[in-house]
Amino acid sequence: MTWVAWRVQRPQLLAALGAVAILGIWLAATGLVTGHDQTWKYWTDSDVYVLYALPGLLGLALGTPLVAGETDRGTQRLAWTQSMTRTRWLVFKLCLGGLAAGVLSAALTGLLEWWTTAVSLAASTDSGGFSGIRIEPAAFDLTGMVVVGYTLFAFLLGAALGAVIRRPGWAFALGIPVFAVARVVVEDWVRPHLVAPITYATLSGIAPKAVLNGWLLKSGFVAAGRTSPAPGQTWQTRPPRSYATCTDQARSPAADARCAALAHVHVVYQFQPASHYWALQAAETAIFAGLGLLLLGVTVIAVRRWAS
Amino acid sequence: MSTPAAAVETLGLGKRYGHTWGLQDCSFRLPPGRIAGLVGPNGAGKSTLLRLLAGISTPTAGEMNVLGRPAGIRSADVLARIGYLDQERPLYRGFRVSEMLRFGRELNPRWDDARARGHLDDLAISPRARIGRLSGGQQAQVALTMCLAKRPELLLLDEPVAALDPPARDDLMHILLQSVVDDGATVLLSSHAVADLATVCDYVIILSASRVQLAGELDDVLASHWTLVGPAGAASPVPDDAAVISAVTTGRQTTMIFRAGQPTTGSLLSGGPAAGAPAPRAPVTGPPVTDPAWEVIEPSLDEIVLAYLRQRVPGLPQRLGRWVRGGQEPDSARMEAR
Repeated sequence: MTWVAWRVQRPQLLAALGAVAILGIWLAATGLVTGHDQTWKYWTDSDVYVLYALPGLLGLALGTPLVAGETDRGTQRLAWTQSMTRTRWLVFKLCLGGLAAGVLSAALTGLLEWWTTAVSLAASTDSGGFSGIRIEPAAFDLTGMVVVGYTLFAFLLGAALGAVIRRPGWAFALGIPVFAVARVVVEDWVRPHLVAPITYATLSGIAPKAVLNGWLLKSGFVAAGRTSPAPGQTWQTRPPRSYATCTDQARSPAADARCAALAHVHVVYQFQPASHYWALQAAETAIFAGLGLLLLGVTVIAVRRWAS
Repeated sequence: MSTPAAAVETLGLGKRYGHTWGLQDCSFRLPPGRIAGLVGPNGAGKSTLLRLLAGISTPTAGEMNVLGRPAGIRSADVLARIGYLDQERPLYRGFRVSEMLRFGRELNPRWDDARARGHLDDLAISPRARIGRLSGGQQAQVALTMCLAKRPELLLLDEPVAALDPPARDDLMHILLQSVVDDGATVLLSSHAVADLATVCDYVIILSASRVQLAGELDDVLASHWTLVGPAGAASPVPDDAAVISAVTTGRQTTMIFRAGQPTTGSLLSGGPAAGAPAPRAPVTGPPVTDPAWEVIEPSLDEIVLAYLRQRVPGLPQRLGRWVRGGQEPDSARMEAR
């Protein structure tokens, strides 16, 4: 059956391999050229946005035809009437497709890891957001194990949508927005809380190095003694008037601190430090793996209940 | 007649697609080792029934028993004993013929590769040919070869001869007979070509308007039906009106097919209380017709089948009723008889 799974999925697998290879060449070329000549930027911001969509596109391209490609052509009536149960047939196909998605996305994350580093080292001022800080979403989303997690999630999403909708084109078209929504929701609302963020309060108004090298979630002027705004209040980005008039005459960080103390405020930074990178990577990968397992269940049920 | 466990047994089997029934109240029992013909017009539910039996589809109502196993998700060992040919002959179009055979070899423990290769050799289908480049008839042959090479105990064939030319039809019928002899297989095949069925089948199931109209041994069916030809407008010579399957008046002549020997609502017809039981081989008596105005003829299987398809059935669309009165043959019921 391994041969059958490979032979049936061969077109998608080769197409995905080709796409990753072409992308690798582009990344290698732009990364090397930018490293050599820092004034040149060979890509536009929209090229970079495509990079964020890659795990989703790769996973969906491998996942949607898994079941829907067969039911669309009616070949499941051939496959499911051989001497193998549908569930076993599905497991073989999912294993091969999942293995391919995992290997290709691991290659992809390796490439992107190298590329983001090369680009951020070369042109730290204008490199499409790659400042070399890997915990910030711009680089976080393209590096580490989350790329594999996103790809496997998209693969299982595509398989489930295909098994339910039964049309590979529609499953793919619906899969893109679903994947995008899942990514945005997790990134904006879940990821900041996966590991408890660190709060740093200062009177001087100068952010420490840990904040500059971390992922800043929230910052602002907060009443002295508090690490977050009082209930019902928001983070104040503008200082209170008494502080502003005081610092107009102050000329040193120490003077700023005195002004803050007089105004009964301090500056608070809430951030994820660079040291939380792997913990956040692991937690977010686990979330997408969990969602993928739910979708796997949907696929198995849909295939087992599929009739005629 | 010895009656071992039935190869296929259904009781009140039904399948609903949305609001319409694709198959309804289907009850019959197919003894093992038979070649059974499933006949009926397009849309009668033949494909629905075969898909249910093959385990691709699940019934909405009723019960079925295939090779001693009830409906539901088929286990691998039951799947291995069933050979199913779908109406659409699904094959992987991008595969070469040899790859299609490897597909069968990898997925079936009882696969007979020599038989498959030999069969395709006889048909001059190259193993290197792409499935998508083969003609419709050749694709049908490859699909059929896939079925036979499984060495199944039960062959469910949906319109196996539809895409084949006449010599290939004869060959196929010969192969089916051979596999019944060699493997002790049971065959259930659907067809429009009633004439083909009559030469090879020993069991007939007539399906019309998503119901079983008749199921029984071919010999019994032939021996228990009579055609009466008489003047139009004459009083019916058959006392039991229910025994008249169809009456068609054309010009000055009325042709009537009726059933003798057993009551029409007996065990051969579905829906009756004893529908699931095997048809008893009752001694068949001649028609009790003495009226010299009526001529008595032995009908062919085609004529009997056509009569059942014309029959007015409760719950049938009104259109069919009109056909019966007007004696006009409906397109969907026109049999491809030779």
